[in-house]
Amino acid sequence: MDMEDRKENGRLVIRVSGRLDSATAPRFEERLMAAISGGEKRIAVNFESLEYISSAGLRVLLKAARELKTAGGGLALCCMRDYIREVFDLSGFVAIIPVVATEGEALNKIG
Amino acid sequence: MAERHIILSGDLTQLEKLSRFVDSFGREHDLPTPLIFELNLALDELVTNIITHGSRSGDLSCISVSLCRTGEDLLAVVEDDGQAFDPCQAEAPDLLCSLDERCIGGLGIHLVRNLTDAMCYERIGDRNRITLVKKAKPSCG
Repeated sequence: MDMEDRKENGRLVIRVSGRLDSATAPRFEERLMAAISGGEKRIAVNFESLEYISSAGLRVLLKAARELKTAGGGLALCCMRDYIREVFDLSGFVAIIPVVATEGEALNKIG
Repeated sequence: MAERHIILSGDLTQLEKLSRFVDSFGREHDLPTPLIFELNLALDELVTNIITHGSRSGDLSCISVSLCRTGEDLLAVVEDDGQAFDPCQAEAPDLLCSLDERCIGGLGIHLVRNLTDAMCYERIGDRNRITLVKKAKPSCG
């Protein structure tokens, strides 16, 4: 799993590639939590190059979404492959975290 | 019917090895990518549970995973020597609650149930055995 991020008009965009499983999710969690405690309130995660996600990855996203909501900001996810999207559908996460098609839409969602 | 078999140690970094094993089985049987992903995810969730529970009690030494195809069914058997744990007894998570109320517990097993067509658990001596059945039907997507 690799991550790269950039700022886009005060919002943080994180691109995640490879595998997000219970072995790699802790690194993703560290990155997100460090960004949030560093004052980032609006975060978009681009999953275009994500090949795999398990419930360990979902757990991190849920935690980040909660923290950002408490901070008065938000989290949005974009560009995921259909079979990755299925995991978000099956887990009911699409109802609690915005999942959109493009990075532009994700940036709009978080304001 | 040819069976493929792999032994994993009780370490989460083994999930990548599991994934390569499922991929190679999938390619061998010409399974579509989404189906390989679903099989991999179901096995990952079970193996993650076994490692997480097993390393807590300290008695897990290895996990064996075997895969075979019989007609239109894919059969996966996961065995371990950790403490008794029956995933079929796990409570279903509440998927309708809000972001604040949402619990994460049980989500892994919920995914396994939804990604496979049958799951059964047996305790045989000091081993756990979970059998999964998944239809190898062509993907709609």
